[in-house]
Amino acid sequence: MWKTVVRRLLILIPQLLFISAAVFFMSQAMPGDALTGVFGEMDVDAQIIEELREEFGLNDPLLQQYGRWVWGIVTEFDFGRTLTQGRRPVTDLIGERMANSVRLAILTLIFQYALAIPLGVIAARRRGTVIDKAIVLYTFAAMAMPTIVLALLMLFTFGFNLSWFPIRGSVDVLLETGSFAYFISRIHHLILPSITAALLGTVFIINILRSEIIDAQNSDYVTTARSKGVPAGRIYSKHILRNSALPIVSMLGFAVAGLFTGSIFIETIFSYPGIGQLFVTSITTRDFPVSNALVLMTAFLIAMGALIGDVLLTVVDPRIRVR
Amino acid sequence: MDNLDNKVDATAIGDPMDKKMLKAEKRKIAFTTVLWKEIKADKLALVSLILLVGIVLTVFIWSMFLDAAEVTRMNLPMVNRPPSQEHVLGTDDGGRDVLNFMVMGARNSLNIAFFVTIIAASIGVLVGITAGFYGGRVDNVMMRIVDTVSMLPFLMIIILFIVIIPRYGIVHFILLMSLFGWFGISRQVRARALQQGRLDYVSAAKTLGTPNPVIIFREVLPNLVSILSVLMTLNLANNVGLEVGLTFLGFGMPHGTPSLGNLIALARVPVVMEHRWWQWIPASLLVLVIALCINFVGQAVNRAADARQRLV
Repeated sequence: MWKTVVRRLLILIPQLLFISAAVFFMSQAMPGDALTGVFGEMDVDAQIIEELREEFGLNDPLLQQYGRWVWGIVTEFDFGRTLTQGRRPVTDLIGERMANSVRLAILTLIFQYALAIPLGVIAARRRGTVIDKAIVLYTFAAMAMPTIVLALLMLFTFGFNLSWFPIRGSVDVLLETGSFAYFISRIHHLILPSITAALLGTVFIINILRSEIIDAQNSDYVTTARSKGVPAGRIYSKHILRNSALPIVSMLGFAVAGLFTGSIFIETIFSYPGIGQLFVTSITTRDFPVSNALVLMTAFLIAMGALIGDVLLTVVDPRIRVR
Repeated sequence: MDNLDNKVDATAIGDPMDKKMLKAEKRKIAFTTVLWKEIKADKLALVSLILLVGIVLTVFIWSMFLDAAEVTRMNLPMVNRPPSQEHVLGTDDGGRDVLNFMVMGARNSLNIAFFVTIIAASIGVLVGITAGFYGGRVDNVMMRIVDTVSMLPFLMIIILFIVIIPRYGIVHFILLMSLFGWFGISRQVRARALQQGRLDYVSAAKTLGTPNPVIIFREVLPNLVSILSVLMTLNLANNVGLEVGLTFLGFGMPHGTPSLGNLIALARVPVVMEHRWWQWIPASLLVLVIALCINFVGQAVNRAADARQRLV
């Protein structure tokens, strides 16, 4: 298996080179460069700007600039500096936002699994009943539901009309950092976006769990357990669920990747300062060092997530061979 | 094994035209009839279908009577009026009638979703069927490329493209969305084509000397119709949502162009969301109903295409 992992990691190198080249040259087509916005509305001599351009290497051939960018990333993990937001290093900015996205993603995952596993099991156990039909209907609806529409309606209902939850941001800035109230305020801000994301994210888990359990109900080991007199509840919790959870385990890889990539739609609607919102802001302000770094990072994380998922699957079920 | 293969080929050569026509005829009747039965058996799918047809007809016929310039013209004295007798759904931030804007927007959004689905499916079918039919090295190389490309964060890349293209309009938008929407279809089609390519009728056609492209499009493609109709219906629902999402973020249809996304995007301003419900809630609900209906019909199509899941 290690051979496979190494090979998959090696394949990742040309893949990332390709993406980095694509985003780099695409962003060169955007108006503005690393010096735009530095002087703001100040009246600076064109001569000085030209000298600075020369100094920063902005007049070098594109290929050379690209090489320097990649080299900086590989050797020093340096993605350059932002064009707006006070020319801070891109990595600082991303790191700051990532903490918010990770919090949101963890709570989303908790809600998602807490909702999906019972629903999947119930649907399978009561197959064909009204409860099962209702759960299946919910998965169909959640599959078709555009994220934007659900998020807006949730925000409108629970944020604006009922005022149960705050309508924007990640924390109440007036509170003292580190205090208990600060912590509670964070959670309070997180609940609505994470429930919205979780409601839509359960579909795949419920569907897989339900069909896996229904398949397992007729398998030999269940018949054996039944004939031994194992109570039905125990059969489900101890025997069936363990086997049926396999495909869900492989999804954990993507879930881990999703922790860091954030959600563009959810974060934008709930004005939640995470990675997704950072991407949208960086694009609208033409801050391409940030957007380039984010695309590259997301692509890398998705690829790693897929790899981790495959490896996890072989760990849980040694019969599966990753090729 | 050799012997068996020869025998199969021999019978297939026997009367290939007749047999093929019979098969095609039978399948054609079967799939549409089964589909109709399946929809009739599922009340939800039936209601969805009727509702969907109703919405589509209303939207397209109504917007034929609307003048695009009239609908999008700003009317500043009439800005942000609540619903009244004259404007049933009120007016938006440019004084435009929300109802008319929504009808025209729904037509545009449906058109976009429809064309994106068709173009993406065509690319997906072309790639998938080629990889699956030829198999071996062709398959390996093509699917490796598909795997690589489909790992890209495509939402981000679409947005990046949209920012770069200097003067983009509906056509650019459709092409961009299609360019990143065919991976799933190509995988499914490839799996089917791989299996079909090993069947007797293909070997028969090959033995007769039929050129491969002809076999692919005349013989194999019709056998993929059922799976394709499933994938395309489900994609259609997603594409409606994607247009709305991208436009909402400000990276979709240009501002002021009638589209459901542009109406919903008004809700980005808290004041609109809280106090001017008539501007964004009707469009949101319309998107919701359209997406749900397409999906419920799609589930019936799915069951019709997969004999194991049929209700009837």
